Amino acid sequence: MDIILTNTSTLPGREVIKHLGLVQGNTVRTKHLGRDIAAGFKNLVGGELRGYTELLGEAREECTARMVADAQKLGANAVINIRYGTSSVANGASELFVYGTAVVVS
Amino acid sequence: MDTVQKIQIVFFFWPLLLLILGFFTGRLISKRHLARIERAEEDLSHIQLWTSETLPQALNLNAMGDNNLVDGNVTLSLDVFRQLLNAFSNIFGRNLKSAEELCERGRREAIIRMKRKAQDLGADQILHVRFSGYSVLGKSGRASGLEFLAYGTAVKTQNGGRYEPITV
Repeated sequence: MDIILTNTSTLPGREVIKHLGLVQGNTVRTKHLGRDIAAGFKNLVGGELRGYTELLGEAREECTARMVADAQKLGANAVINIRYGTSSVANGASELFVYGTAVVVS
Repeated sequence: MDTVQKIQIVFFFWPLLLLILGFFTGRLISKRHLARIERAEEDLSHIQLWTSETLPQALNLNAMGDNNLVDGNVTLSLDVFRQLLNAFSNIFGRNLKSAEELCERGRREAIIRMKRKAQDLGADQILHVRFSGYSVLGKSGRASGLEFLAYGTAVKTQNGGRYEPITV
């Protein structure tokens, strides 16, 4: 079952029938040693650290998937008002989280 | 000068050599990145961004179906020369031009990547655009990279994104 994801508080052309509450997903990732070394070299000359771009992108996809699983467990067919956030847990490890409101829409 | 002396000189000056390398590569990379950004922005200029949640009434919306949350992220770092320069300029307190420029490039690049995803979905508007970011920490704990994230909701308008004020 596909689920509608949006970061606006309303869905154009649809109406919220039932409110199911807050759903969230998070991941804590540490950096890959190989990527860290590559990033260290890139850090000397400047420019994009592609390893980290991919790493953070994948981690964000994963926590979104967890949030979606959470929403599906509640029987939602949409998650509205989605927000992304980050926090630093320990040296080198980062938490990415995403949260939103699970709803049933028409 | 014999070989041993040459090697000694290189060992003594290698941090300086790295700084000089960083000075030139940093400037080159930033210039080329800006040029790439400008080209991409021109290509994607048909997709409009809104920080508001809804569009003016005249733009008739079509929700695009199931998954229309789009995002774009990029991680950038400064070169070693400018990192050092910025560390020193904290003493006097001034605008860090290179860091300002890095943030500008990062946000524009994140927008471009978000717009590309929206384009793949066939959208022409992105609503409620929000920015977020993250500082990637290096081995010694200093910030060695900054992540820029842009996200929003991609939608399609029926009139191709033309703004037509309502006449009452």
